[in-house]
Amino acid sequence: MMILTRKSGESIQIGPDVTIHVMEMRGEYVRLGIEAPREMVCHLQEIYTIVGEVNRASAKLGEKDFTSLKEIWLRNGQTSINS
Amino acid sequence: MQVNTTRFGAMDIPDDLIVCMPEGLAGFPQDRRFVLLEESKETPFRWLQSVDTAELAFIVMDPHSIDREYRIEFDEETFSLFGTIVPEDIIPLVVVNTPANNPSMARANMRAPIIIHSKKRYARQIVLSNENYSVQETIFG
Repeated sequence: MMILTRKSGESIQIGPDVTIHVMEMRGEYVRLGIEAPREMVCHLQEIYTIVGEVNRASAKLGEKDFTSLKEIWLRNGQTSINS
Repeated sequence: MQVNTTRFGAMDIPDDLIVCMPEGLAGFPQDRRFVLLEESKETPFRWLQSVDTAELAFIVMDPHSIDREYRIEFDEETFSLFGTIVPEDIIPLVVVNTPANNPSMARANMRAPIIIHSKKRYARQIVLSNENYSVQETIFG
């Protein structure tokens, strides 16, 4: 891993298309500005990791689960739950 | 085109029903084309089937059937992919999973909905900044 030290207002260039700006430091937080091509979507890593894990868990469901979900839904007479 | 699936066999899907996800899904970056399979209208559950991988399919549902007040704030990237967003053109979906293989405990990822632009046939999974939406929201109250 490359480790760099930067001050507020300075930037890091990654390849030709990606720039990371250190906008501001406030207490224990750093505010970053990220310029990148549209197809390079940026996420908070902890969220992206969780979404990937949940997607992988979801991909394991089969037709039996689908049938069960429908049965439970119809049994509960649900049209909208939290309304 | 013919779409091979492990759950439903070989299906003949009209090309204009195939949805492109240029960024793929978190955890499945290789799969870029999906088709939303219609089920009966009695329940909100549907399958989102990968066109590229026969065994990859997700149970999805309309988040509004869990929370009528559910709101999606579109981010800049989505606007640049979709262009103008007319609410009627957007199909919002949330991915369902069942912890411990127990369907009565089923949960939906309300924090990261998949949104389909029904006319442009583009889709992406977005992460909402609203922390009140849970990654594991109970479906059956």
